[in-house]
Amino acid sequence: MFRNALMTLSVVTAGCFCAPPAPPPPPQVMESPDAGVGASARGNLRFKGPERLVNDVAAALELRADQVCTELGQYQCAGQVHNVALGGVDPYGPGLYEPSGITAVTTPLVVDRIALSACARRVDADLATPQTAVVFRGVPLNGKKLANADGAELPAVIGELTRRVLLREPYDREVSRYVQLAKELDASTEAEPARAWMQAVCFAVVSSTESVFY
Amino acid sequence: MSLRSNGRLSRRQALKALSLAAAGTSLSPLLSGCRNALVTEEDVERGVRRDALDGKPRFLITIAAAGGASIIDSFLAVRASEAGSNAARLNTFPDSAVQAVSGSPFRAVRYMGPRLGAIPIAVNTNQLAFAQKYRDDMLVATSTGTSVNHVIAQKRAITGNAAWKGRTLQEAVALQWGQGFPLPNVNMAVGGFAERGTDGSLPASCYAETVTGPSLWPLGLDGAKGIRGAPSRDVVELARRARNELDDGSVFGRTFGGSDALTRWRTQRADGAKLEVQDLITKLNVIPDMPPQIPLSQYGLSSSPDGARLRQVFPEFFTDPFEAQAALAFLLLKHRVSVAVTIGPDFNVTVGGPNGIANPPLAFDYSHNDHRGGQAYMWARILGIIDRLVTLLKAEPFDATESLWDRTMLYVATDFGRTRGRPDNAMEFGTGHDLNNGFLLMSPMVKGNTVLGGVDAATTMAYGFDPRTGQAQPGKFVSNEPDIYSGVLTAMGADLSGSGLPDASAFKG
Repeated sequence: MFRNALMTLSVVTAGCFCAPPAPPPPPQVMESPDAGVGASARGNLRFKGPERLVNDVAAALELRADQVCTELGQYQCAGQVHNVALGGVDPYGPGLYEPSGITAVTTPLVVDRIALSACARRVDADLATPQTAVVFRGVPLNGKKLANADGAELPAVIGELTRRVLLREPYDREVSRYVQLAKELDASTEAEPARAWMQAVCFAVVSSTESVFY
Repeated sequence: MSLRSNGRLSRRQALKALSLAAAGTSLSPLLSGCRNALVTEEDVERGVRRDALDGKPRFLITIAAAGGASIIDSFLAVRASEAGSNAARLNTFPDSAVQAVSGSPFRAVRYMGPRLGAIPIAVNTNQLAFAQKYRDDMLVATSTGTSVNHVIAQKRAITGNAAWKGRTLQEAVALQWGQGFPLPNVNMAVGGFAERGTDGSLPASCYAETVTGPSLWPLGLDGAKGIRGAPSRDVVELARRARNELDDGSVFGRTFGGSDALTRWRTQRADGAKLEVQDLITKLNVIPDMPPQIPLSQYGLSSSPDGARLRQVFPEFFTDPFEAQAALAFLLLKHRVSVAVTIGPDFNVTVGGPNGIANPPLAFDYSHNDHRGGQAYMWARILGIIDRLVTLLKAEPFDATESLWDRTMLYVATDFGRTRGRPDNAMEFGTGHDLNNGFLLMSPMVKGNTVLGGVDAATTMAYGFDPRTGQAQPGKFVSNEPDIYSGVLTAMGADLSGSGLPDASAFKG
């Protein structure tokens, strides 16, 4: 009994510390339609607003909502500093009881800040503990670079990210563009091209129009 | 730095202004060429003939004096001896409290009281120094409004009760002079003063960018700077390029690409890039690097080069939002970010300042509890901010020949006046809302040292005037909201052709 327990423990331990993390399942890449996309007659799109945006990002990247973005490490981006820019209200201070209903000039910048902040945190965590990586798992590295930008692991990660953020499989155009991004960064003078790619692709998906409107 | 006594710039200031102008050369196509290129049939329809303008921007600062700033508690105060037998029951002052401003039709109230309503702080204010200092740039126009509901009256104070297709003064100014400015219209005020106008035909950039926290708001003027662990700017730009390409070609983008929301979003993304290029996250950032509460440097950020100076001018900016708004207003004009900026106190208590209360509850509307103390306190607060703001603007060159103040209109908008009655000879009393009042305009562009209209001392009610000639019209007590609206724009030199606004030439200097 005791021996069995020890054996089980040793197997689990070996699994935790020695086995390379498995990459996400390969995506069922969809073919990008060249034509035949019907334009919406009503076009009734809504911006997500502060709470929905942050909660969605938090859920997609498995972060706590209060970890998604803070200014200067202490002021909540969506709940405090940029609440109104994200379409929120502020009844107790300036008496803004109703949301404006439209995005402001600064809204895209604030969305970028939130996406960058959340993605930086996710990538940091995934690289620090590969065995428990949530999104960027199973990506072989060669030092600070991606070991193989043409390998199957990158599309797998892109698929994982797309499923988490956009709740669908990626299109082939998206996969090829983000793989191209990896190659652009690999050829750049960036000190940590692998990390930069992970942050960049995460940022691009999280801050895409499909992600922030509904 | 200040202008010489003759109003001209020193050689050093002129050189600085010229260097600024040279630095801005790359923006000039946006500021002028674009303006001319944009003259369309729609512009003519909207009432904008940009070729009629001088090509240089003019600025509007609206001070939203929330709660009802009473003009007969300031520059049109009435002495008891002038009101005859009615004096004891009307809001008249002891003669000694109403001071003459030499060489001017204005008056100035001196008030001393042991408390501010139920708030145990002494009130000791005097408007004389302000009136003497600025009389030549001051114009007071009497008014009769159409609402005593705060929010509605506030909005009408900035739309002239829908005098020009429902657009606010700020929107009109943004349309006239805001081309090429990244955020032409910034609004930090409250209630109806913060509302958008009802003219839906304006370009989106004319509608106000709402700012509720002026101290930290500049952090949202860059999409990447100051985020710990974020990749380099080059990486962000590569990622944005990939994202934007995919956005445009995606099924989502093609399905909803024609929607108003996505059309606006694409424009705003492009406009946001202009904010980043100007490094406004730094230039507009008044807060200091003060770890651990404000660890700017730890996040790769820094305070504005003007930060220390502005913190000295507005020392309560951390705790008093009105001071923080004023500091930001100055920077928005200085860096040519905005042509219309709206600031003002809110209805909340603000703790701070020399006696512990910077803003009483309900701002001017504290007059319900203590009219005279509340008005005196709030007028001192408004005039104190104006004085510091105008001093800054006077010292800031616009170009080689003018200061920023030379091209700025300051409009003290307010909800309405206050009822005139009081218990016999009471010095502490409460008042309600009254349509009858007056507005203060300040600018080198107005006809200075002027009162349009007047006050009937026997009733303390303000009577009207002819907005074209300026002739006082005793007995005229009809609504003149469009006159005030037109007067602000007329004094600024706006092109009002096709607007249908009344001729308000009397406001123009």
